[in-house]
This record gives sequence, structure tokens and C-alpha cells, in this order.
Amino acid sequence: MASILGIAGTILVLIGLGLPLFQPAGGSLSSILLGLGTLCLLGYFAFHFRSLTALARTRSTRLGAHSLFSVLLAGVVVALLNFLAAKHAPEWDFSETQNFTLSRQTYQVLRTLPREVKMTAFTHEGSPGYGGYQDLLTTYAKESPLITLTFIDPERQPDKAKEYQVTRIDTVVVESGPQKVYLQRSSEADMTNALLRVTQDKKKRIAFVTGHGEKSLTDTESSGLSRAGDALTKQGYEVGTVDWQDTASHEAAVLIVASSTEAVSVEHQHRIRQFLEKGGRVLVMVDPASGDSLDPLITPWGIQLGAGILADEQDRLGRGSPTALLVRTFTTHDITEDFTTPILFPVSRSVTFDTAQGKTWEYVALAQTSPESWEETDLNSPQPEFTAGQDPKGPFTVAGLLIPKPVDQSPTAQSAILIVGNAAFATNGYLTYPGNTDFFLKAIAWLAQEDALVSLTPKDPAFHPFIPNPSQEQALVFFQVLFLPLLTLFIGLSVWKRRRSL
Amino acid sequence: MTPVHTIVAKELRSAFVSPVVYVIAAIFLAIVGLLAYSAAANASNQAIRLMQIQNTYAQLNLNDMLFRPLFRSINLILMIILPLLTMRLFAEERKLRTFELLLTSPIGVNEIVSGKFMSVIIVYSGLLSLTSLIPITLSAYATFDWRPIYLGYVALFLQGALLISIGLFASALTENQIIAAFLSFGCILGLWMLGALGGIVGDTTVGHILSYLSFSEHYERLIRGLFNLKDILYYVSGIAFMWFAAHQAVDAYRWK
Repeated sequence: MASILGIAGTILVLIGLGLPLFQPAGGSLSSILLGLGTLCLLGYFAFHFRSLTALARTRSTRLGAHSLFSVLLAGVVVALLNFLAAKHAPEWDFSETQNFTLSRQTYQVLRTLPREVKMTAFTHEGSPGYGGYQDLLTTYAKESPLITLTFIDPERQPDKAKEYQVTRIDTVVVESGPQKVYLQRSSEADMTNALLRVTQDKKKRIAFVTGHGEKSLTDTESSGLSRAGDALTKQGYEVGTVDWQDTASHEAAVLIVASSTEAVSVEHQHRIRQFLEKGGRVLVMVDPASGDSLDPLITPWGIQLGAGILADEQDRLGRGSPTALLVRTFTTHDITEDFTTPILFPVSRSVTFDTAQGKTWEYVALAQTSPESWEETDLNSPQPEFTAGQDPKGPFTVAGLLIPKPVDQSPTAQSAILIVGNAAFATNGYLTYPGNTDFFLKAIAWLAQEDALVSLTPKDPAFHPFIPNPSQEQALVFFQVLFLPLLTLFIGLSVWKRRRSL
Repeated sequence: MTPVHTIVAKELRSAFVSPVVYVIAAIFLAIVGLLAYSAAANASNQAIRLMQIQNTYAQLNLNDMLFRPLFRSINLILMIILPLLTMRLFAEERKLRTFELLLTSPIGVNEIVSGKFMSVIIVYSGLLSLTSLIPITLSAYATFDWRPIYLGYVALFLQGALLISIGLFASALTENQIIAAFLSFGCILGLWMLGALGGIVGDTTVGHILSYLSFSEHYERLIRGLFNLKDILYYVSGIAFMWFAAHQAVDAYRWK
């Protein structure tokens, strides 16, 4: 009976002490358990009073209690030290990518977050983006109590990936209220801009011009723009078409003219110019199939499109046709500043600027072909081939940007026109190429003045791929796997043998 | 020669004349070497794949793709191997009845515990320094940042020292080496599992305390290149606490 009281008392006291840690709200139950436990223990001590007092007088009990007390005291000191350190200890970032160090602007954004933001990273440990996301996102979550971070392995939880419509590994969904932004790389600038974008209530509208044979947003074939529309929606934009009857259509942040195959009517040209005069921004993409249907719109801006098709022997996709341009020469600009992946422009036209015609515009050639490129003028030729004296030699501009010249040093309207001599790069068939997605989304973000939110200096992406040749692999196997263990075993055997011979 | 030096010299002598240390070292180095090589091969394959089909914004570097997973794997190996190195420290003395002689000698308990602890730390440091051949060999062929690797070695040293101090305490409790090894392995496993338990409990005070008590979180931060004083203090205080507990256990043998 007495021993049962002792055991029950100890268990009840322990549960009573531990319960508030797991259930902070259940205070009364804990007190009851503690009270019952104390009563049981008192009962136990009453039954064993004599033997316990005798035991307490022994030397070993005193020394044992002293020892136990010392260990407990040391534990308390250690716990206190760690508690203080956990609250106030400084830290230094020695990682190669500096992923634990956020910029001053990001800290400012995190301090002024207006509402809760949920970050969901769809990645797993074996994935190349995992480390970067883990470092960067945990730093964000640590700096703001309003950010909740969840890592989801899309292979183990496909239902979650489906719910979020995530189809690619290493995707982060940043959401707040009704807003959602999808990101595919661990860049601080993108992450901070996403935070700003999802915490704004109004979505920016991207409007596609229709009615003149343009590529369609609803077309899911390889020549359609449905993927581009989805990508923009996932970036937090409102995507739609221009309603020419609605005079409010100029409220769009960006107008996109995706390779009209019929001439744009005079009225619509006028509406687009009005949109620009009010500070609007326009993206014009022109395939060779457009012919000269867009000339009346773009010629007044000083833009001319080449009549032929660009071909490049140097920067092309693998051993494919030279007309499948793999453009990798970029001018320093916010749109192209951190590009390391080439953009695939299949069947493109050159973009040139006439300074006399476009007096009010400043021109920036954003992306160019290599000096080995040429403009194929013989469009009936089955295999593009450079013909000296007939075909103009490169480099050629494939994407050019027009911004208004400042008048009398005073700031002008923030209008801008981006002209790309190709529309196919943004279609369903080619948008999945990483360079194309980046260029399209970055261009739209810049045109929609999203990059004006936060412009951070890009960090070194720490891109040091390691691809050893066979002799290096052999050296690695020899030094890392064989040499040291065998040497150690050999020394061990020698020692053992020597000891046996003694 | 101070008493600690004497104990360390005696322990090292007995360790290095026995083939056990060499066998453990050879197994440790072979496993670490294999893991390093497979991580390098994996990094190489991923680099080829990513450069062909994916964008190059991924952090393609050996610090993230090779050393970080390698340090994680070494930690797991240490959890198995270090109890084998520490199991004999006191248990063997007690079994051979030389413990009484040691305790009645003019050498204090402090010196005995410190000497035993230092001797295993020296053996372990030797093992660690041998693994440095891995980054040295790789540096001939690849580019990577050394600072996270230095910090990774600091993490490995502290982690090893903590596990050794736990093994020291376990060995002081029993005269059976197998029990000592299992006891220390159990303690280490328990401490490791606290991290997972903290994750299950979640974002509560208890969850945070459990995660903090486990070495996983501290070790992970260090091998990721984040040097936080709280992690260093966790290890130093943990080692000191276990050393003190081992000291008390040895001292208790005198009056029991």
C-alpha cells in the first residue's frame, strides 16, 4: 500500500508539473494532480517516516543528495545561460551565398508588413533549390512574426501540389489574403517584391490587344498564349484582353500586342497612343508572320523591323536550325541585369531604331545576336545560309526598349515601349524554356513598374558547377575512398603484429 | 608532466597499441570517403542535368551540394562510432579492478575525468584532421568557399566533443563496456530525437525547448555557414554539463 502511494504520488506530481507545458489552458487540472500527488507522497512519507529518517542520516544518502543537487544546480545554470544566449546571441553569416543576410530594404519591408503572409515552398532535400530556399526563407520567417513558412515535398504530398497548382519542383507560393505569387528561384529581390505584391490589395492588370489576328490568351495549342496568361496570373497580375468599347481599358498597367497579322485600325492605333501618353506601357511582339501589319503603329516611334529572318551560326539551339536563336548578349538594364540563361527566339526579325523618326524616344537595344549572325533575305531557301553581298551581317537587335526623352530636364510620363522581333518565345511551345520565362516575366514586371517596388543588388548566385573528368574521378576515388582507410588499416596491422611478436 | 598529461599519455598509449582504434578509424574514413565521393558524383550529375535542362539560378556549388550533405552524414556516423571509442574509458578500469587504484592515487577526480576526456578528443581530432584530405583533394579540381567548410569542421569538432562527453558519463556509470556503449548511444539517440519531437509538437514553447535541447538544430545551423554564439554556447555548456555529471558519477564511486 505504502509503495503504491509513493509511485502514484510521483507520477501524479510529474504529470501535474508537465501538463502546463503541453496544455497552457488546463491550469486547474494541473493543480488538482499536483495536490493529489503531494497528498500521496505525504502519505508515503508518513508510512515510512522512521526508515526514511534513518536513511537520510547515512553518509551515502547525504553525499548522494549533495551530488544530485550539484548536478541539478549545474543544469539550472546551463539552462539559464542558454536561455540568455538564445535571446541575445549575435550571429555571423559565413555561407557562400550570404543567404542568411538580407538587405536593408528587405528588413524595412519585413518591419512594415501590413498583414500575415504565408510562404509555402514546394521542394525536397534532394532538389537543387532546397538549400537556397531553406536558408533564405527561414531568414525571412525569423525576421518577421507575420510570416509563416511551410516546406512541402510535392512527391509525398501531391494533393497539396495539386491544390496550389504547382507543377514544377522548387516553387515557392507566397500568399496573403486573396493574393498569390509563384516564384521559381531563391532570389531575395524576387522574394521581397512578392511580399510587397501579395500585401497590396489591388492587382495590376495586364491587357492583351485583340481583334487583329493576335495570338490568343485562350489558345492552348503550342502557338497560343495560355501558358503566358497562367504565368502572369501566378505572378499576381490580373490578366485579360483589351475591351475597345470600354474607355477605362487604359487602366491596364501594360498592353501587350502579340503579333497582329492584320493591320491595327487607325482608331485602335490612336487608343494605344493615348494609352502611352497617359504613362502607359506597351509590349509589342512581332513574328515574321505579321508581315507589315504593325508598321503603321510602330513606324511613328522610329522602329523598323527587318524584312528577313535572323540566323546565327554561333548562338543557336544545339545543332538545330540557325534561325532558332539562342540570344545571350544583353545590355545592362533592369530587365536583363541578372540574366545568365540565354533566351530562345525561334524565327525572329531584327529591330532597328531611326533616331530621326523617333525624336522623342530614347532607345536601348536589350538583346542582341552574335557577330556571326546574319539576316536571311532569301525566305524561300530551305536551309538558311549566309550570302555575302546579299544578306546583312550581324549583330542584330532582337529586343529594343523605348523610353521618352526628358524634356527640359523635367521628368516625363513613365511610358515605355518594349519591341521584340519575335512573339513565338512567349507562346506555349517555347515559354517553358527557362530563359524565355524569365525574360517574359521580368519584362512584364519592369513594364508594370513592379521592379520599382524594391530593386536590390543581385547576389552572386554561387554558380560553381563541378564536373570532373575521368582522371580526376579516379584521383578522387583513390585519395578519398582507398588511400586513407588502407593506410590506417596497414598501420593497425603493423602495430598488432609487432605486439604479437613481443 | 601534470597529472592530466599523465592520464592522457597512458590512455593514448593503450588506445594506439590496440587494433580497435585503427579498425574504427579505417571504417570511419572509408565510409566518409565513400560518402564524399558519392556526393561529388551526385553534384556533378546534377550540374550536367541542370546546365542542360534547367535554369542556372540554382545554387550549383559544392558547399551546398557536397559538403553540407557530407557533414550531415558524418554526424550520423559519429553517433555510432563515438560510443565505441568512449565505452572503455571507465568501464574497463572498473572491470579490471584498476579503478580503485586510480581513485586512491594522488591524482584527483578532476584530472582523471579531464585526462580521459582529452585522450578521446585527441583521437577524434586526429580522425577529423584525416578527413581534411577530402576538401584538399577537391580544391585541386573545383571551386568552393572555404569559410563554410572551416565552420563545418568547428561544428564537427563540437558535435564530437559533446557526444564524447555523453559517452564519458555513460562509461562512468557501469563496468560493462557494452552497456556503456548502448547507454551512450541511447542518450545520443534520445537527444537527437528531441529535435524531431520538437518539430511534431510544433510552434509552441515546449516545441521550441525540445528543438533547442536537441543538437540537430545547432549543428544544422553551423554546417549551413551560420555562426551563432548560442550554438557555440549550447555545445560548450552541454560538454561542461556532461563532464560535470561524469565527474559526479566517478566521485560517487568513492563513497558508495
